[in-house]
Amino acid sequence: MKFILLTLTYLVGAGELILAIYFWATHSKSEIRKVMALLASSTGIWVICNGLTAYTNPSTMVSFFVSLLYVAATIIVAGLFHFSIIFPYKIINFDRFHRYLIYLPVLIFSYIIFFTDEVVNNFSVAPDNPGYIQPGKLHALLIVVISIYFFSAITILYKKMLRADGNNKRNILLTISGVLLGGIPAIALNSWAVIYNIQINPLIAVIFSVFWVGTTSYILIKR
Amino acid sequence: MDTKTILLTLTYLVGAGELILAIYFWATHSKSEIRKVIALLAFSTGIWVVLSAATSYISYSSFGYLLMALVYIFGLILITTLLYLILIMPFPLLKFDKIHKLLMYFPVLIFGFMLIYSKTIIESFTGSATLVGKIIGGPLYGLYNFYLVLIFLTSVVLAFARIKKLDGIHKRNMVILIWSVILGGTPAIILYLIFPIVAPSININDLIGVIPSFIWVGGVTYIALKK
Repeated sequence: MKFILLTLTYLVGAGELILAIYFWATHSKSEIRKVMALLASSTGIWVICNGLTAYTNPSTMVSFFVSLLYVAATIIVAGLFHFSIIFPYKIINFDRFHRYLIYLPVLIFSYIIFFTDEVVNNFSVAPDNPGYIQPGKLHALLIVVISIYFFSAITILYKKMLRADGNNKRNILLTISGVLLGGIPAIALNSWAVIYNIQINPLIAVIFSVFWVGTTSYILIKR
Repeated sequence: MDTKTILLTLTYLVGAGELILAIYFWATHSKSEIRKVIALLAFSTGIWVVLSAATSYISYSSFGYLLMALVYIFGLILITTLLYLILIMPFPLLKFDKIHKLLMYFPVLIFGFMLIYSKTIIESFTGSATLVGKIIGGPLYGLYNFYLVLIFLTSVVLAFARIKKLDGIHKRNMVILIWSVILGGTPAIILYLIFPIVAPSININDLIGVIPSFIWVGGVTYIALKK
C-alpha cells in the first residue's frame, strides 16, 4: 500500500510539474496560461512535498517540506481564485492591484508558516506511518482562509457558467467538475480533518489533484 | 492636573471629535464614495483613539485584552482606509470595484481573527493606575507592525506619486492630505509600531502618538469641507 501510494503521488506530482513547464513555455503572454503554470507548479510542489514528508524519519529537511507544502496549498487556492476571475474571460477590469491583493494573504501566511510554529506546531512521522500534523494556534485560520478562496472561486465559476453558453459553458463546467473532484478531498481530508483530529493518510487526497490539473489542462490545450 | 489626567482628557476629546466628524460625514455623504471613506476613516480613528485611552493605565484582564485587541483591529482598519482614500481622492486612480474592496479588507479579517482568538500578536500587557502600560508582543507582533508600516508607507509614496499628475486645487488638496498624514500619522507609527520592535527598552507614553491623529482627520475634513 505504502509503495503504491508513494509511486502514484510522485507520478502525479511529476506530471503536474511537466504541465507547469509546458504552460510556462507556451504562455505567449496569455494570463490564463501563466496562472495555469503557477497552479500546476504549486500543485506539483504540494503533491511532491506530501510524498517527501510521508513515511520518513523526522528531520529539519522534513520540517521544511511540511512548511513548503502548506505554502504551496495557499498559493494553489489563491491561484485558483485568480484563475476563476480570468477564465475563460474576465468578469471585471482586472488590474495589477487585484493581483497584489489576491496574493497578499499568501505572503502573510508564508511568513507565519516558515518562521513560527503557529500553523504546524509539530508532526509525527515514521517509516511505517504516513505522518500526521499537530496543528498550531493559527492552523484553523489558515484552513478557513483556504476554504474561503476555494469556495469563492467555485462560486465565481458557477455564476459565469450560468451566464455562458456553447463552448465556454462546457469548459467552465469541466473546470468546476475537475476542481470539485480534485479539491474537495484535499479540503476535507488534508485540512478540516486535521482540525478535528481525524487521522487519514494525506496521500489519498493528494492523488485526487490529478483531476483538476488534468481537466483544466485538457481545456487549455484543446482551446 | 497631572500628566495622566491631561493626556487622557486630550485623548478622549480628540476621539470624541473624530467620532462626531464620522457621524457628520456619514450623514452628508449623498452617495459620494470619498465622503463615505472619510466617515469610515474618522470612525476607525475615533474608536482607535478612545480605546487607546481606555486601555491605558489599567492592569491586565480578559476584558482589557479584548479592548486591546480592538485597538489593534481599528488601527488596521484606519490604515487600510487611509490607503483606500489615497486611491480614490480626488478621483479614483483605477476602476475601483467590489473585489478590490473585499480583498483590501481581507487581511483585516485575518489579523482580526489572530488578535481575538489567539494570543499570537498581543500576548499580554502591563499597566497600573500610575503606569500607562506596555504591550507584551506574541510571535506575530513583528509581522503585524511590519504590515501596518508597509501600508502606511505605500499610502504616502502613492500620494507623492499622485501629486505629480495633479494640478490646481487637486494638487493643493493632495499636498495638505500628505502633510496631515505625515504629521498626524508618523508619531503613532513610531511609538506604536517601530519602537516596540527596534527599541523595546524605550518607554514613551503611547498616548503621545495617538493625540496627533487629529491632524490627519482635521486635514482630510478641511479638504472635504472646502470642496
